[in-house]
Amino acid sequence: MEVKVINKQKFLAELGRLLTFMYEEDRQTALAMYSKMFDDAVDEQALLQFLVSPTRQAVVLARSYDAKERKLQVHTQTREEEPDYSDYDGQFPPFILAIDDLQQDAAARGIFAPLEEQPAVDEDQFSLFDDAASQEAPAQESAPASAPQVISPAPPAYQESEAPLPEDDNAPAKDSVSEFADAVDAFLADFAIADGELVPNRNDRPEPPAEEPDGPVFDDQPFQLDKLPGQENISPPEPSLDGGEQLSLEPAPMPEEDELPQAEEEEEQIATVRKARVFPLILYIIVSIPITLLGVALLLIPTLLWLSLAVTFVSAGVLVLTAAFAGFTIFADLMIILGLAVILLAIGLLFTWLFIWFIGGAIAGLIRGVCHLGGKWCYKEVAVR
Amino acid sequence: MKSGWKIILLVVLIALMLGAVCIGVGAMTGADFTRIWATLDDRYHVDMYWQYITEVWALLQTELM
Repeated sequence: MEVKVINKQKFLAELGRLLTFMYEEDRQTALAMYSKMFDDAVDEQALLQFLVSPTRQAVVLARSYDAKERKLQVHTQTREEEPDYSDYDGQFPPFILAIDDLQQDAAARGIFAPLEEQPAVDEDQFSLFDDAASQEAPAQESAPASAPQVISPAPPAYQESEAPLPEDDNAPAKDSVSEFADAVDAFLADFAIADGELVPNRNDRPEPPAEEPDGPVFDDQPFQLDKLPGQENISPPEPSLDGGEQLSLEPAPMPEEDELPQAEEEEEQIATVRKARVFPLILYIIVSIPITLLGVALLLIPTLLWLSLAVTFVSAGVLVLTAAFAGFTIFADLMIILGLAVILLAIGLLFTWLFIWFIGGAIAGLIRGVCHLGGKWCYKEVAVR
Repeated sequence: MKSGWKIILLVVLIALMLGAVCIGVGAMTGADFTRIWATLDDRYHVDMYWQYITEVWALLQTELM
């Protein structure tokens, strides 16, 4: 299979083509942030391996992009010359946060050049600090104090809110987008982009980077994103939260994960098509129509009989009931007449139900059975790939 | 249809029992069937319709048999 060699230009072009669901301002912002990531990357191939594919990034952005919210924002920004994300309820849009998380994650993996001169540390030695999340290493390498300066691609309108942020003491901060992105990453590892389409990757795809298995493993439990003192402006909008409390983000379902394998299975499945056998069908129609009409006519006789009996008994019951309240003054006679009226109405109800059962059950069942028998005898199933 | 049968039969059974109870109570409290029939005949002319039906039936029997 052809392996597509991809570089920054191809990645951004493909990503820009996939982000057409976003508003133009947001799309340009997202592409600018990705372009800045490439500019800041020490090794472009390492960054490409980290980002995996434009499709994956498009899925990440689509997952975090709220079109309704952005519609309101874009409409309010139409009079402004450049997008101002600072008035997004005082916070950044989620898709910017998703890209920012990617940048921080990439910075933590050492993909970006450090801003300050630091002693050269072998890449393997970073893994020494991975397990100790509360150690000082993450604070030095992936701390937002350095990350925004190194990889901050945000527009100037919201750069001021990216103040140096203290690192979380317990665990690296992740949001639902990052968790979702890891799940999509595992799925897309088996695919590659060829001619703008997602094609399955057999055995010619290079192995994923060695850091991948060492990355954080997330379970299905909803995780907590601690709101840091300087992060109030870049946390995702959550209307039900009080300021200063923890954000609880539920992992969202991933509908895209199963679509492509299902599509492949459907293509490989052998479909069956019902084809009519013309001569038996014509013969069956010629024979079955008179027989069906005869059966319906025979069934109509008891049906009409039940109908006439039902009408008779119900009308007799109603007449007796009205007579009970009009012409009888003695209690004993009144009880006799009421009892008789109830009995007549009960029998009338039984006959009415028999009439309905003959119409809806017997006659309709006869017609349905004839059609089913015709379909069984006069049609055959042919396998079609 | 099966549940319809059950419901209808249940309603009919309850109505029949209720009617039987009413007739029993009326019979035990001194109801007179001749008086009841006379009242119904005065109101709906039941005897006249009954005689008309029996005459038509007898005529049909003599013509067809």
